[in-house]
Amino acid sequence: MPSFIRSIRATFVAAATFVAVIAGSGVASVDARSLDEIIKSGTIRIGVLPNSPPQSALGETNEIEGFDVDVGKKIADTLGVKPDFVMTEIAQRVPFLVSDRIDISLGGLTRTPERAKLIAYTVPLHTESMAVLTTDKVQAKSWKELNDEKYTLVLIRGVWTVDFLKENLPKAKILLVDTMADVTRSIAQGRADALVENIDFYMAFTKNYPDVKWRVIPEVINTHYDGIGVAQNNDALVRYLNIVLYDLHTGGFVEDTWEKWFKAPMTVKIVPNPYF
Amino acid sequence: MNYTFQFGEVLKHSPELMRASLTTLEIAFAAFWGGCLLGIAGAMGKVYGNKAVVLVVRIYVGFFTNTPSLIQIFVLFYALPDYGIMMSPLTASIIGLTLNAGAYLTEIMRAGVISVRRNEMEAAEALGMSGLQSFWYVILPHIARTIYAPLSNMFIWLVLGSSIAGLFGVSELTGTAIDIGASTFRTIEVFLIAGGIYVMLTVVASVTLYLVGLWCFRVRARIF
Repeated sequence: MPSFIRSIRATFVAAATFVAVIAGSGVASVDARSLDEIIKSGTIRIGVLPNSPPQSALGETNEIEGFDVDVGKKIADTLGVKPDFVMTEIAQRVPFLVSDRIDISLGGLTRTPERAKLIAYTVPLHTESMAVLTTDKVQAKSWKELNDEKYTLVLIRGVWTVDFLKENLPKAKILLVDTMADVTRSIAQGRADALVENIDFYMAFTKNYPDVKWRVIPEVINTHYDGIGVAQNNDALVRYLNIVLYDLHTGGFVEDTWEKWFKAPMTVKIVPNPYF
Repeated sequence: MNYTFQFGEVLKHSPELMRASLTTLEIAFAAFWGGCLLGIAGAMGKVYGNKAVVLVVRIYVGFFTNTPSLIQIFVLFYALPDYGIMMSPLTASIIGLTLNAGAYLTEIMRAGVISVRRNEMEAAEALGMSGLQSFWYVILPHIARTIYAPLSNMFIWLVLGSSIAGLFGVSELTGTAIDIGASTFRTIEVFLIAGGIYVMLTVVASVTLYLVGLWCFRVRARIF
């Protein structure tokens, strides 16, 4: 048998073995840590976005800080454990929960039925109101006017909004980039025309381009609710977090912390409900 | 708390993954041939050029072999527009990977160039060959035999390295896998399938390169 045939066979055997091992590990469950195990370990692993001010980003002291970080620390305090902040990019939030890399996921995790098939959610932590961030070069007065092939809309790869825009603004072109900074940079450089997203999270990056005449179309397209992501069937942890969140909402902690970081009230406020 | 694998939802997107595979190959081929041209020019410049040419080649190779291709493409894609140079994501990715591959191939090809013995060149001269003829009929075949295996490895590296283009909006295999993962939330499944496609691409490329090497240069390239 020629050596290259043996090599090919070896490659396929290796690949097949790898897939079998991975698939096999799925059958033999990746168990998420229960509430008891988290408390006993003395640490809760909290997924936060690495570069998404004011939600979470490295501050002047090179420590991670932001709205999500304050909420994470508060949750850890109530549990009597230390927070261990794990950097999770947008597209990694659900996979990290599924593969037990983190115990809970913050990072603006919008509730969607598709995600709920894979992970569990707490009651809402905050809302996300979708709007349009653009520049004075775009004359559109409503987001619907962006449904034109002359417009390029920019988004981060991995956000649910991609499907929303393909459905609602099918004629517009879509540019997918890697980070929030890349989104605003693309608009500033003229590579894209607008962002249709929860623009609160992106405003901090517009300061990098002070010469650009940024414009927000004053229209709330829709509102979504972001809960804390937890591994599927980790019921005790979800129940615990729901109680904590009710207290954080009614005690004003969430709203105060939001205004501290976002410098404005939440566009659509959460109405706490004691029954969950 | 079992995670149940469900490939059905992801397999519906197979046509997209196949189209993306073609983009992956397009990037790899373009960067490979561009890199080969840069590599051979760099190698000839480094071996036969004057001091100024050698310095320029050294700076080029030093910069591109000591910085990640991610940063090189980032500069091309995001920094140059501030100076009036706007490229599409695909163009920036291909140019970035070409410059990166060219730097590595300069060193690989230089090894091939210096392996050409002086008496071979003297023989070419004695036969009345011009500089260009000597290059085409003597130097290039000799280099090809000497560096065929590392050259093949570079192509395989480019097939896999093209995944970096996904970070700049190019819908190649990895970028498309991220998109499908984001819409189906079956990230593990889609990456397993994408990984399988990468294996197929590299195996086919390796076999092709092995056979080309065997028939054209009588080289048994061990590229696995």
